[in-house]
Amino acid sequence: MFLHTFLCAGVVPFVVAAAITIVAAQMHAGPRVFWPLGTALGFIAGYIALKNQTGMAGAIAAISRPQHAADWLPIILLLALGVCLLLAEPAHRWIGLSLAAMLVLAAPLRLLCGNVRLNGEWSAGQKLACIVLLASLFGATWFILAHSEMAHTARTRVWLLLIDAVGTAAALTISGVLVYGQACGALAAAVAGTALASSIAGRRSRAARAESHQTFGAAPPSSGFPAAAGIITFSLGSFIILGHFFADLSATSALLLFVSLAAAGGPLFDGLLRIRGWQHVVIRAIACLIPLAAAVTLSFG
Amino acid sequence: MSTSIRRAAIWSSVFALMTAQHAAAVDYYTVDPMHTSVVFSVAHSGFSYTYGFFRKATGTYKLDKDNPANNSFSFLIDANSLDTNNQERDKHLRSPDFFDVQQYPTITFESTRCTPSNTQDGMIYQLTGNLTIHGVTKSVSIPLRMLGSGPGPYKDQRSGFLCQIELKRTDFGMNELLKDNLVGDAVGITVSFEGSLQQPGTAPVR
Repeated sequence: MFLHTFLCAGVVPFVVAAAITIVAAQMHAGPRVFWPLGTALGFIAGYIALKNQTGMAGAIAAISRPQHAADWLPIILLLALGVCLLLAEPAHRWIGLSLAAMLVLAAPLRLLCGNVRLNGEWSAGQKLACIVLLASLFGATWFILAHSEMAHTARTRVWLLLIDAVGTAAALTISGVLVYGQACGALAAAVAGTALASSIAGRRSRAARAESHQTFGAAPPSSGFPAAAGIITFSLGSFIILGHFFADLSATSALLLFVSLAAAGGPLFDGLLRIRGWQHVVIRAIACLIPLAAAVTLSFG
Repeated sequence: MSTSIRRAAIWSSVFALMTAQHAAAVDYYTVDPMHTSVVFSVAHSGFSYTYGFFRKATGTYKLDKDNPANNSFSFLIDANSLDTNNQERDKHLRSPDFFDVQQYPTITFESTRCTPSNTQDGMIYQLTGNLTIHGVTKSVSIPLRMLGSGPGPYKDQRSGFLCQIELKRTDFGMNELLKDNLVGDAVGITVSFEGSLQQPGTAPVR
């Protein structure tokens, strides 16, 4: 059981994400392309592997003809990947932004349309308010994560994002849903695979190095992480929302997890405090880990 | 009165009499939740069986004395009411790992065919019908044994049944925790219920 989970939620997404990143870098793609590609496809591979409980045909059927709310995620992430790749191209920025706005509105609607509260218990006004609130949450998180391009904080952000994904997995598992927890683990593995492969590819690929210098100055390849903000928002964010609406994750825990996610990757403290070195790492870590620890602790209640 | 009118009157009287007799042979029952139990059991890691039950079940059924093949049964269980005597486990069973009650709040059964057989254990109705669990509808065949029928303790007309079947949870899309047989695939289900006869004038089953 544990070996199976480790393989599906750890090894598969890590290897797939790393392989895709290296191949993309070999094909002269830059960090703003291989980060979203590696993260999204690595996560989807892990999700399919996790769904492979009664055979691969069942796993493919589950995500190609989704019945359960979480099974819509691979499709949502593929759409988010398309938008991320469009946003990576300055020429297509406005089209990307328009599609991003549509996606942040459509994703919570799609994820929650089977929920009994939205299906019958709530009034039309309550439903509308809920969807608008969740769309705003998705949009704000995506915006915050995508606007943190200071090179010297890139590695810290990636490490904190990994811890955040693992903490979110713990909170969701404690809230009663093992599958959501495992899927968050798969995202952590996909991010780790992409980060490791991007640093290797960054040294080897002349094209990747050239784009890194052009875009971020002396930025390391891990600075492509903001380009994957949409993928991270729609994977981790969706599981937080699903955990609240389909399991026992409290609204407070869900909000704390969103705060932790924004603090892990956002530009807030770069802009406000303008500090560097270990002090920056400590402050960002405190801002990220305190709400994360609080959310995990509250999940036990 | 002409002959043709008289003939029509006789035939309509005969038809009315036949219809009334047929209606009298059909009884409509409402399931009594107080005397209804829905119990399930599932293997845990091959070491033991965990038992649980659903606290809320309702239903109606129709018994046709003259033509038991015309019997029909309809059952609805509140999936959120499951209870295994452990809150953490109940929370897990209600989650998307298993019943996913926030998306699929009910378990339903609607019979489509009834084949009666009189055995040494009494009357057994072999019911074929649509069972919906976890949003997946499957045609199943259920042996339903009539335990008794007659006046109850409060002098109302009652009838009671027992059914014991085994289902595979994977047939209903509940695929989690199968590895190492952590939670078994086969689920034993026992349902026993009794119903009280609906008063004349109340709405029929369907």
